[in-house]
Amino acid sequence: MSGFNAQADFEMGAFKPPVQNAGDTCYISDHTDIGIGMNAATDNSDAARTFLAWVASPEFAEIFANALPGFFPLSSAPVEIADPLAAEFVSWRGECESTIRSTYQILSRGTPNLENDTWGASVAAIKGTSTPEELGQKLQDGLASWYAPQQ
Amino acid sequence: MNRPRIRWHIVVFLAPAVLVYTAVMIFPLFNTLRLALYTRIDQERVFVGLENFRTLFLDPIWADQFWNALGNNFWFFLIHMAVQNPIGIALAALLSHPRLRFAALYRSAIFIPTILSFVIVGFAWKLILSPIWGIAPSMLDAVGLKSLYAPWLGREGTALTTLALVSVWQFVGIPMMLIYAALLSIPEEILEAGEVDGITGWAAFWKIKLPLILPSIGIISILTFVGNFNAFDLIYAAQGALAGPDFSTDILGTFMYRTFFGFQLQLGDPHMGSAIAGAMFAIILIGVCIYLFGIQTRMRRYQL
Repeated sequence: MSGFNAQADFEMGAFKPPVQNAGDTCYISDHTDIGIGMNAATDNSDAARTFLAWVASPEFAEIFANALPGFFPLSSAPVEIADPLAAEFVSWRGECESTIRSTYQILSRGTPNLENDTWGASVAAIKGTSTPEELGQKLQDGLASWYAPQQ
Repeated sequence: MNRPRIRWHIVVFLAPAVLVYTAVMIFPLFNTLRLALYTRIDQERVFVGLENFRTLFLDPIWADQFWNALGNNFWFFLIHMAVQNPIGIALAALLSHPRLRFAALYRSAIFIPTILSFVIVGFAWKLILSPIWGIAPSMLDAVGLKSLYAPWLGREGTALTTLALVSVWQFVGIPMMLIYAALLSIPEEILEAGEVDGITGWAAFWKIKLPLILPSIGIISILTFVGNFNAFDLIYAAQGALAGPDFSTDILGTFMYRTFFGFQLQLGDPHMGSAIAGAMFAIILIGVCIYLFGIQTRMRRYQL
């Protein structure tokens, strides 16, 4: 976000994903797929645990949010964000429900590919060539054809 | 008795070409065909025979994409045959006209796009045709034809034809050059003999020149066929590997790339990708054989 702010010669603002009717529930996408973990077979498990505990701490969340405004920590601890635009973004999490990028990562490791199919389905829904219910069913059927937990 | 000597120099002179060709063409070709007979199950490569081809042709998830890509590929080829080659022949006939001025300039100008990179051509045409910042809408507006403009690359019905015509624009110089060379090789005496018999102008083209350049047209057709069924670059540069909108510009090359190497979150599958590559190889081989044995052997040739 700071990169864009430096490039734009105007003041940037932001708006939430629109909803069908005023007052409908809004959704904000949490990118829970960007995660890090520890290799179970590592020789340095103590060091890795220490590092991961720090990454999960409110202290890191504060550093992360302010060093990379535009990327937001998913930490449940309250975080002070200096960038006003980033702060506005993150305030929506108080008003809206959370949703995830369902196609990342594991759910796109089969055929048919859920991510590519979701692209096509999104366009079809916007163009009105198919109803959202039909498209959702198609995506679900595609996923169920190879992903055991959905079968 | 004199034993025939082994002529070592032949082996020595052939070796570099044979070795390089084997390393970069023959080995990869057969290895790709071999790869198509395997699949990966739990991190292990397992031999499955022709199972991948059965999946490709019969499993609806794969077959729909395959037949769509094949159909699109035929349409891509058809546009080239119907537009690129006749225009190439017509341009060559005009260029070889003895009274045409600036022939060298036209020849170079028409041939230049051929040496451009696909990426430049694809990107430039995408910009030209863009409804937002392209120059096509304003150019049509300048001559009062704005109503004819449509976002051609963005519509399922027109995107493939548009890209085929962009490709025609790029490569029309190839048939032009080949036909031009063939036309120049027709001896003046033959045309003069025709003139004596009263065959001039259009009649001279249809009755004398065209039959003489027919073998060149055959070669151009087969080059177009092979080139089109191996095409990939232009579609990838202009529309990406998902060959949008809604796979309407998907041809075998983009389908193979997407499958083999993966795209975005789609994981690469070298085995299914090789199966598609094998199918492409078979289609091109069949096409070339039909031409070689069905058409070329029956073509009448004239001794000049």
